[in-house]
Amino acid sequence: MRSYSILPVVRIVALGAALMGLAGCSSSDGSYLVTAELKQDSCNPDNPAVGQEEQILASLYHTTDGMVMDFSGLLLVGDNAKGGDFTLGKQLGESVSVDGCDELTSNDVYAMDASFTKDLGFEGSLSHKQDSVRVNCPDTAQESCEQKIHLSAMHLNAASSLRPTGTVNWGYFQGGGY
Amino acid sequence: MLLLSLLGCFSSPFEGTWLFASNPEASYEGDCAPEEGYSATGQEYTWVDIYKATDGQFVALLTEPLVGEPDGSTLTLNWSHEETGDAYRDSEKYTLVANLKGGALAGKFVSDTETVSGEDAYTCTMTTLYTAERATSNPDLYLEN
Repeated sequence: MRSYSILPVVRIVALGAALMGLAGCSSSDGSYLVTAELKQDSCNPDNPAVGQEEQILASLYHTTDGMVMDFSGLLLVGDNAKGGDFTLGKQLGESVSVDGCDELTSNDVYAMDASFTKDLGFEGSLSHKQDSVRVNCPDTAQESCEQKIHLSAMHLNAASSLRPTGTVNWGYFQGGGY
Repeated sequence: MLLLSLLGCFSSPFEGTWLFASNPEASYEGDCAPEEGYSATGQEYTWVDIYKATDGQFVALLTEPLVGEPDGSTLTLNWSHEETGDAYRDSEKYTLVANLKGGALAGKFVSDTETVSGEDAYTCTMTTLYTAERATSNPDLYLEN
């Protein structure tokens, strides 16, 4: 009876797994050089950075539950990309209730919509909305503002990927409450 | 899966880079309770790297390295620091409890702070609940070198 070796199959599987490992288990994972252009800033109407471009480092991870974009400590989380499109975000709010008057002292919502490009980068937009709301108060009021940023990114070599460390050093978001 | 494990993508149940999603509304005991009527919504995200040392202990890198050993599917890690002088004593203790279930972590982070200076004393115990998902990327690719 002729015996067949499974060694070639094992080699092919191992090679595939090794390539996945080198690429961080997903070809889109790794570091990106992101060119961000502040398109609009209603939080700081006189912001001279509007129309300016800034380059920052970001890293993309996949987790067992979805994906994460790490903008030097600002972590935006969402589901896996579908058809190359992905949506990531984060929300954080604080409120204080005094004598039945609910004051939402801050509510920061980050939302990123982007698509992977053919050259392994991604392009999209990032918005940062800040709300301040007072309800059931004598002086009920609502204030909100938004920063809109256009993102264009190129993928860096996975072997030289660095995870951003430290805090966000991104002029647009200074004082943004992340 | 075995090959991925050998390559370091899934090296051990606790090892690797985890995305911690913590509830911003921590519970407080002692002198640090927030003002009445305070609440927080949303989630705080942070990376936590967990390594296994050559002596079998596990190390989690938060602001400080927390060290400990697993007991079944539960990993408990600690870090403590104390300074004493003629008229003061400062102590800090961090505890991270991580329960592994279905490939994800859930547990709590507890920080105990006690400061005694003369007759003044300040104590604060803050407990934060979290869940964590594992980064499936090879963490080694993201470490600074």
